[in-house]
Amino acid sequence: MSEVRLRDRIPTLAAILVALFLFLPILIVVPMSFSTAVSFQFPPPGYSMGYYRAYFSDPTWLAPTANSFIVATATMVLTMLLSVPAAFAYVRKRFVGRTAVNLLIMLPLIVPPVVSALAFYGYLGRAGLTGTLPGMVMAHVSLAIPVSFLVLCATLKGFDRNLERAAMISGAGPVRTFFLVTMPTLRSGMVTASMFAFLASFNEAVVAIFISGRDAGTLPRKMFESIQLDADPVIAVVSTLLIGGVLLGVVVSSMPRRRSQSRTAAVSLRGPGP
Amino acid sequence: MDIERGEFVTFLGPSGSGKTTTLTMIAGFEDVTSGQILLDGRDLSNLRPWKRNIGMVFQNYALFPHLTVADNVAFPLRMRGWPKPERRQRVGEMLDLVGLHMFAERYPRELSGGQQQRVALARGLVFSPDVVLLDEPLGALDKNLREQMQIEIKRIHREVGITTIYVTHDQTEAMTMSDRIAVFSNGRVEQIAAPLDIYHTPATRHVAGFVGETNLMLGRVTEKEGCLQVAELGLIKVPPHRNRHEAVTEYDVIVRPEHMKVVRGSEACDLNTFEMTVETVINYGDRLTLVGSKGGLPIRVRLNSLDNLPLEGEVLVFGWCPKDTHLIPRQPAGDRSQDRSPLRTVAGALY
Repeated sequence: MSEVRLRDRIPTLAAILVALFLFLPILIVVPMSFSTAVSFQFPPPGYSMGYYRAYFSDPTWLAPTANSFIVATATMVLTMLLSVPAAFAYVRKRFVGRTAVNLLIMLPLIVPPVVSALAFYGYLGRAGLTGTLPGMVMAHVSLAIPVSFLVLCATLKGFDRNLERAAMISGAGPVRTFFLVTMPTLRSGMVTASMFAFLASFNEAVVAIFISGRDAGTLPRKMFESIQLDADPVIAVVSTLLIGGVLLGVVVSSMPRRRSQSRTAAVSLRGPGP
Repeated sequence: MDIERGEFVTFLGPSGSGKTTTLTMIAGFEDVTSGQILLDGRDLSNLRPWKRNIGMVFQNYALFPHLTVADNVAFPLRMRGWPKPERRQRVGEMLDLVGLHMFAERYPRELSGGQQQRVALARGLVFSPDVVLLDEPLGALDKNLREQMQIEIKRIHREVGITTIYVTHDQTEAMTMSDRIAVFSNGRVEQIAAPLDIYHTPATRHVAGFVGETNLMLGRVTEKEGCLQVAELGLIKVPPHRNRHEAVTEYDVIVRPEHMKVVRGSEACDLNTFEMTVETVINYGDRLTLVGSKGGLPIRVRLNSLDNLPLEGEVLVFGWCPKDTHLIPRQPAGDRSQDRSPLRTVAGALY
């Protein structure tokens, strides 16, 4: 009896172990961010909010944070403006060189980041854009496009074109069909693609180290420098804040889905209608 | 092809026969390759789909997933600039018509397949279109629900009276719902007629084979008046003065399985009779189908009475009444195209 019960629980136990394996090394930064130690130390000798105060009052940390948000937001907007039309054309039209275009768009994803970084360094340096925010945005857009393009293509391939036909036969012209039916239906795919574009920039360190210079330095670059130079526990603070931000994002994005699921359940309990 | 106002016409045919293509041309999603489509006498070819005032119901429903049932049904009215109060009232009427008024605020994904199909129907009808096109609307539903929806669609058509074009490959659906059926094959219309005419007097072999079960034989003209020579059955009597042409020497002879019967005793004087071994008995509960063959010609016999149940392997005498024989003249080889109207003349007028 108990044997059977144990066997039933094995998958659950395995899942918990895997989750711990994935999550514990990341979670270790949380206690370290509240530490009183002068360097990374686990377990912490004592707890305080000292490094949080240090982070929020140090312009050498706040400026890269602001830069990261600016660059990532601009990257996201520009990436979507470029990759949405590209994805529509790629999925819906047949044209000469379609496969070549796809390969070209995917290239930044295939080329090692260091190679890209070197190329950007040479290219943007000549244009005088190294160490500037526009330069960073340009580099990050080219890295983010393949990611959001992939997501958008997958979304578009799953899109039922009869929806557009239904809108048109209902009296909507191409423009209204696009904005009232196509776009809202693709919304979740668009949101995902935007998120990926944002994160592709926000998490990017290699290119940032090569080209962002002193003035356009981003958060990942600052963290790399900090861990190399002085192992400042403020990094643990930044990491904790980032983890918190991601968790918050996941919770918020899963909330509407849960609501609609419960409504569906209510319907099925009542059974199929007449 | 002319379709009358308020008529329910079904395009029936196997997949790839051109029925859906014709429908998409009427809707305007595909260009007409040749010919014309007229609606109330005006040519549709230069009108984009959103200017045509045609309603359409898709096989996969194609409901807008981000809108509620009420907003889905209201969509065509919104596109036509109806003010909100009128819109709401009209949507309410339509949801009453399809029996979904309690579901107005639900989203499509929260409805069953049959309910979604009704929403699609309401959306296709709400703006009182000149024609409503239904593209295999019941294809995705299970059998019981399909029959229920057939009755439902027929009722709604009766109540609303909108000209309806219905595409299906299901002959039962076509038979039960339509005022007239257009049988499609290989991009041509083989016959347009009322369901019973299609069934009893099919214009071509293909129509006979596609609508209902058929015993098909080849009959050659003989010197003997009122008789044809069928290789497998010998001389058969055929009804006089029907489908006779001087130049024709060969006929497709069609006998429906339900017109065949088991002949016992001496009633056989006027019937075409033959002896056959019963190979298979298919029992449907309320009727039987006997399958056998005579000289290589497969023959099916439908029996509605379950008395004297025949056994597999039993040799029986079968027969049919000459008046139940349907003859289709065979065109001499090379002249086959004339007896079927090509699709370009089909694209006639929709009134």
